[in-house]
Amino acid sequence: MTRALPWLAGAALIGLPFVYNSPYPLHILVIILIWSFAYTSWSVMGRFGLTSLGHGGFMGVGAYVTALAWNKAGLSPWLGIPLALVAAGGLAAVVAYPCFRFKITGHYFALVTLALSGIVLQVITATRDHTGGSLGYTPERYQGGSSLYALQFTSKTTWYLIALGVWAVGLWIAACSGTRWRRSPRTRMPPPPPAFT
Amino acid sequence: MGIFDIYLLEALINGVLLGGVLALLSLGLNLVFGVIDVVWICYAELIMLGMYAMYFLYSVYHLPLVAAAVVCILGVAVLGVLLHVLVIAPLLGAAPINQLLATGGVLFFLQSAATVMFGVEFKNLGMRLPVLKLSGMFISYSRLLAFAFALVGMVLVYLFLTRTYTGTAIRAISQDRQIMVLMGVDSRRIYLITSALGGGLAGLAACLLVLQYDIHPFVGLSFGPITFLICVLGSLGNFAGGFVAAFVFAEIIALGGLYSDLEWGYVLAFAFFIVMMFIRPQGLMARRS
Repeated sequence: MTRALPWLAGAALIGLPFVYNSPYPLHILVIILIWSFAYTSWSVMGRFGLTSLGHGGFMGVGAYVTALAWNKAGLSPWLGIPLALVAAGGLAAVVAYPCFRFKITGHYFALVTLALSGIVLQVITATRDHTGGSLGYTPERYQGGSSLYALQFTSKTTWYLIALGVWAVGLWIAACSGTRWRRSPRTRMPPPPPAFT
Repeated sequence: MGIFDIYLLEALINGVLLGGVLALLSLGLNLVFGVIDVVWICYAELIMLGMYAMYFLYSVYHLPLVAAAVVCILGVAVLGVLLHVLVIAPLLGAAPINQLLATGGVLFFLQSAATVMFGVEFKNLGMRLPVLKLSGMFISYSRLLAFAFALVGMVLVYLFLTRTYTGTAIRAISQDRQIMVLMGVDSRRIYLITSALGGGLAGLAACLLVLQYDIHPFVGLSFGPITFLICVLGSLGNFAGGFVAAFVFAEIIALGGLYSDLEWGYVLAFAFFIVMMFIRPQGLMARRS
C-alpha cells in the first residue's frame, strides 16, 4: 500500500485539471510546481552541505537566455531551453570550480553564491537596452496564440501538465543523485536528511 | 585632463561619503553578529520600516525632523528587541542555518507586511537638501550629513563599548559566550541591550537614507545584500574590518560608476567580493592563525 501511494498521488495530480480547471487555482498550482522544482534543485545541493543563495541568479540566467533567444534570434524555446541550461550550468561551474579548489564550503559558499546572484541582478539591470532592466522582459507572443513550436499555450491545463512533468523529472534526478551519494564510500559528510522523496 | 581629473576626484569623494553610510549600515549588523552570533538577514528590512516611520512622522504627522528622527531611532530599537525576543531567543540553541532561515522568513514577512500596509508606491519626504558646489564638483549635502552622522554614531558606539561597564560586558560576552555567564554576566540582558543597540543603529541609518532615497517596500533589497557582504569582507564581528571594507566597496562602486554605469560598479564590487572569498575567506582584517 505504502509503495503504491506515490503512484496513486501522481495519477491524482495528472487527473486533477481534467476534473477541476478553474484558471486561477490552476495558475497557483503551476507556480507551486515551478517553485517545487527550484526547491528540488536547491535540495540536491543542500544534502551535500552546500547552501546556495544564488539559485535566483541561475533561474534569472535561464529565463533571460530563453526569452532573449526567442525575441532576438527567433530561436524556438526547444533550442533556447538547452541553451539556458548550458548558460546557467556554465556560470555555476565557473564559480563552483574555484570554490571547491580553495575549499570554500559552508557559510562562505552561501556568501559567494549570494554575491553571484547580486552580479546577475546588476548585469541584467545594467544591460537594460537589451533586457529591459528593472522594467522586466516579456517574450513576444507567437501569432497563433497556442503553439508547440513557441511553447506558448493559452490553456492553463497544458502548463500545469508541463510543470508537473518537469517537477517529476526533478524529483527523479534528486533521487538518482541520492542513491549515488549513499553508495559512494568516499563521501565523509553528515548523513542526508531522511525522508526526502 | 591631468592626473587630478576633477571628475575622478568627485567620484572619489562621493565614494568616501557612500563608504560612511555603508559603514554605518554594517556597524549594527556587525555588532549583533559579534555579540549574539546570529546574522540578521532582515536587517535592511528594519531600516525600511524605519524609513516608513520617518515618512509618516515627518510628512504625514508633521513632526519636526529631529523629533521624527529620535522617535524613528527608538522605534527601530524596540523592533530590534522584539525581533530578538520573538524570533532569535527561542532559536539560540538551534543550528546556525535555522537562525539564518528564520530571520530570512522575517525578511519576507516584513516586505509583504509593508506592501499590504503602505502599498508599492514610491514615497519620499518631499524635501531637497541643497547640493554643495566646491570648485566645480557637486557634492550632495545629504550625503555629507549622512557621512558625518555615520562617523559620530560609530565613535559613540566605540566609546560605549570601551568606556562603560555594560559595554565591557558586551565585549566580554562576544569573546566567550559560555564562561562569561559563569562569571555572573546576565547574557539575556546583554543580548537585549545589543539588539536594542543594533536596532537603534538601523534606525539612525534609516533617518539618513531617507534623505537621499525614495521609500518602497523592497528598498531593503537594494542595500541589504551589500551590507551583509561588507560585514563578511571585513570579518563578521570585527568593527574596524567592517569600516575598511565599507570604504573599499564604496570606492569600487563609485569608480565603476564613473567609467561606466553605476550597476557595473556593483558588479565589480560583487566580483571583488567573490575573489576575496577565494583568497582570504576569513575577511580582510582576520588574524592569521
